[in-house]
Amino acid sequence: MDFGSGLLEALQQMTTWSFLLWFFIGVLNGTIFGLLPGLSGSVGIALMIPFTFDMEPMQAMGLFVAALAGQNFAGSITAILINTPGSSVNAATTYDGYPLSRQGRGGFAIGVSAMASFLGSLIGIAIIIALFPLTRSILLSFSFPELTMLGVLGLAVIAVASRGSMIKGLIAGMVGLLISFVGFAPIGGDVRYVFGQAELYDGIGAVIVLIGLFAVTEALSLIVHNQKVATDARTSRLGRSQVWEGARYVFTKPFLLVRSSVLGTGIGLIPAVGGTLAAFLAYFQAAKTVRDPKFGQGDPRGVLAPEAANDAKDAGAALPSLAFGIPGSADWAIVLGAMIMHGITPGPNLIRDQPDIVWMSILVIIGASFVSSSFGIVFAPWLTKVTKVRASLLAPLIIVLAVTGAYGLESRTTDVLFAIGFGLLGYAMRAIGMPVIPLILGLVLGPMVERSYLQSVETFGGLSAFVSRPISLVLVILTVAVIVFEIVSIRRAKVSAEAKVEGVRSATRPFTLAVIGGLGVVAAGSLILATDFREQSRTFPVIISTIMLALVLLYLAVAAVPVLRRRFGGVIADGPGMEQMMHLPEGVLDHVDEPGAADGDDGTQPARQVATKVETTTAPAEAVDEEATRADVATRMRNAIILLVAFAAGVWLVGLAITVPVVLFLLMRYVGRESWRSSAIVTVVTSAALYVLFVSVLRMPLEGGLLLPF
Amino acid sequence: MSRTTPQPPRRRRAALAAALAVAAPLVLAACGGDDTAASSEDESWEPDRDIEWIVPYTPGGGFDTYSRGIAEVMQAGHLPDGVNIVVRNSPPLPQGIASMFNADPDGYTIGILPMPAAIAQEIQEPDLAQWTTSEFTVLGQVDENGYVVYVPADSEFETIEDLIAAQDIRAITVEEGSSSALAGLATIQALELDADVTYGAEGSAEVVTAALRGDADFFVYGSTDLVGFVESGDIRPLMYLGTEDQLPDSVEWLQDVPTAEEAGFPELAGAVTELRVIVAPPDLPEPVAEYLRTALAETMADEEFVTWAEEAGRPIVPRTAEETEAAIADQITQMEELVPQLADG
Repeated sequence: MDFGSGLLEALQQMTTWSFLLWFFIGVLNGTIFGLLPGLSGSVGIALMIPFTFDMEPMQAMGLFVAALAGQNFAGSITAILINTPGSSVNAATTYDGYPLSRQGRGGFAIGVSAMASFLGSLIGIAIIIALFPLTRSILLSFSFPELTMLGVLGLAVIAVASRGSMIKGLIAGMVGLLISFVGFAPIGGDVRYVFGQAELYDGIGAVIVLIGLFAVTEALSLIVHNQKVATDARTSRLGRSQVWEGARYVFTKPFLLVRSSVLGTGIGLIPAVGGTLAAFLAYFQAAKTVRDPKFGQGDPRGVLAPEAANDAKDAGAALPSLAFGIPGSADWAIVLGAMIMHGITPGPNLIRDQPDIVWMSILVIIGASFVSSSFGIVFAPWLTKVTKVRASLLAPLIIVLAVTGAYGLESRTTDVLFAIGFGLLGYAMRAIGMPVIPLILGLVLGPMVERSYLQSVETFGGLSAFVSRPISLVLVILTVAVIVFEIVSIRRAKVSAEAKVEGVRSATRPFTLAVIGGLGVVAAGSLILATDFREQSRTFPVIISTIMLALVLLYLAVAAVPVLRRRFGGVIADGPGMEQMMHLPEGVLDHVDEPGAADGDDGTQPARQVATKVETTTAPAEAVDEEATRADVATRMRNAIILLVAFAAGVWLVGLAITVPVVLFLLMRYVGRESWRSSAIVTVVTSAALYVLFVSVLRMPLEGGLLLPF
Repeated sequence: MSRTTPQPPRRRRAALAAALAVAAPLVLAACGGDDTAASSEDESWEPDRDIEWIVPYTPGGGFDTYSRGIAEVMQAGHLPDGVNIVVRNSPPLPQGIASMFNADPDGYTIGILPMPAAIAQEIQEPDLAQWTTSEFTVLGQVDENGYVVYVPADSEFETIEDLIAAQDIRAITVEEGSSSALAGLATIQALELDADVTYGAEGSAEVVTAALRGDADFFVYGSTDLVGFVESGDIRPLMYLGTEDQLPDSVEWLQDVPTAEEAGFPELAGAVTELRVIVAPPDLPEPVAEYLRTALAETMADEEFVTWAEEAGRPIVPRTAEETEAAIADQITQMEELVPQLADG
């Protein structure tokens, strides 16, 4: 069977009812697991493996590939609607997707994402079919120095992208890298920063951090301000026409679409480099290359670029997997493992021995992407209704679902504590205008950069390989160029003296300095602990914590010393880019202004009041109303934070099964101010639904707590 | 540490409805059941809920594949109706092994143990290794995987002698302390190779690509893990490190590869052979152990499992619990001698 007739063979086998049935089940599985925060698509694929045991290999593979290709778009839906990416590949979509939702344009954003996802994967597939003969040389040209530099480039891009608060962006990126060091060192055999906790040996998962920093933080913010997601949606319709408008919009930007898709496919071709990097690089090439950008404020191109790229990346990742037997991504690793179980040997010979499987996979990727995007377009009008749900109902549900999802991943109580802890950290970071996205990227790219750096040095005997190998050299130059370009454009940017003074003032609020100082203590602690590690395990922690400590000291020095502040205030000043990172469109903060009237149960609270005070474009409103609103927000915030801490403590002490309904009820009743009746009804229905889904269907073992072992 | 719920709830209908919406495979999970009669008072034991099977590696690798293959056949025909085996991947290795060792010895947590990695880690990293390999309750063995020295196809090294004669060569391997890293070190030591090792590759795929792009001159990996690349002619085997009786008949290309014995290194033959062992926590009550051993032995002899293994290209070398215990004891003795030497060299 040659490659061409494999296509016919594949089509023949695919046009059976049973194949199509499994295909649809696969897409559904991918969509649902992609949609649920915490449960990623690869969990869904792994769960299906046992049930395919008796299936025809062709149908089983159809099921797996459909699940794999169906998940990326689904994750963008939650990123757009509730600022919670389904998995880290969708994190870049929150930049502009969520602001669109807040403007009541969620349906439009989903339309853009659906069409960009589908076309991205179509373009990606076209590229990989063309590249099939070149697979080997492409794969073999990326060695350890190239992988290192790709990661460094990603980190550089993300750091400079946090315009206006570059130093805070850098610090956030360093925090992400430090978190990535927790657990086993990739090389050197040390276990780092685990403090004797066995649960930390495998590190802190990106998914957990994502749940905390996005879902929990966002829900907290919604309920405290008691706002629907779509704040100014009163006038605009959420109907189907908006979704189609979004889908059509993609066709008006053909070049951006193709650029982003090519970039995504290219990243996908290189094993071990994930879709998260693809999405971010696409986002920032868009931000740098389009005319008249409004990125961060709901520019649809900011949804188009990362979504096209992350679906194209899946197509790209199929190439090394199918043509060479080298998994292009973690999901493909599972699918290749499943192939082996079904007697198919992945490897360079697959295309010769079983071209039908290769063609089937290619067609299923296109088909699954089409079907899942269609789901999106068809259901978007209903899905966007979530943005009109009042916060008192939506936010507690998001918190509970996110935390249960965090637990569901590994059935570990510590994951729940981390999700809540990162939620509070995210809230503090947001309050001081520190972007969270660099943290995510540092966490995701950290292990890859560290591992390949050490492997480069070991294999090539030094740093010379980084500049003596052509592709690596190009990446080095690109990294330097990105940084230089950014510094030059910051220097050229005309910032009025007034704006600068304002920026410096907001950057030197006591709470900001306290958080930055706290991070400095963390950096110093990491540095001290790192000196005990063995040689190879030590290199990165020492470098990163030193840089972080230096940045913190620089920040504090500029803030504290008047002379430095006058001369170099621009270094730390919050710029116009800051609000974008904080996902706080204009007007949102109007209601939050709070002149120190509340009692501080938590360190976050008083400072938050100061924080919002400065950023607010104070609305002239009736003083009495303002006063009442302020007091109200303060109470909500206090209750919400107490409840989150109680949530963590409850899960630790008596387990998830008891804590979830109790906290859900209390959140709705005492933060959301729902009536007794609706709080009770929602609590019962939600708890039952969660129980059925997680315990009965997914068979998640429930763990008791410290006081209530069972 | 984690304890499963005593009994799945009787929410069958609701579960089914929800599951249909999710995905049919998940329905099967929900339909798997409950309602097994509790075990009687006498000495015999029978599981009445799901058994958790720990794999200390990520999904997709060899240990995972074997585990899922066994789990499927075992729950289909060798366990009470409705009792399933739930495979749980729990990397990294030390944590996975520790969770097998420290689970309650009640028969509801078992796992697949990589030997000699378990004992090597115990000797090398006593702080990390929260287990004592010799104390596990051994249930049986599913496979022995002899190691092979490979070179990329276009390598200048045609025979193992060429490799021995070469100077300043480089090997690539996975994380330190793994069975294949140990096999590599033992080879370098026994053959007195002038070689440096780069650690940290993530699995077989990365090892192979590194070698193919010329970042390594040779590597040592399992005989059954890289069949696709040997058959495609991308990599060439130079020497088989297992013993003659560990040679799996089903792997044809391996039959012509010189063994360590033939090449004149009898002490290397079988020194490091990967055993895939199924274990339970220490002090498992005898009736429970007996039940699980029988179920496992029956599963591995089951026609369905044998067919699956053939189709999946996964040779099986089943051993009884006694045979396995003896093999483990041998490896412990071997490693206690070998690991300190490797550390010195």
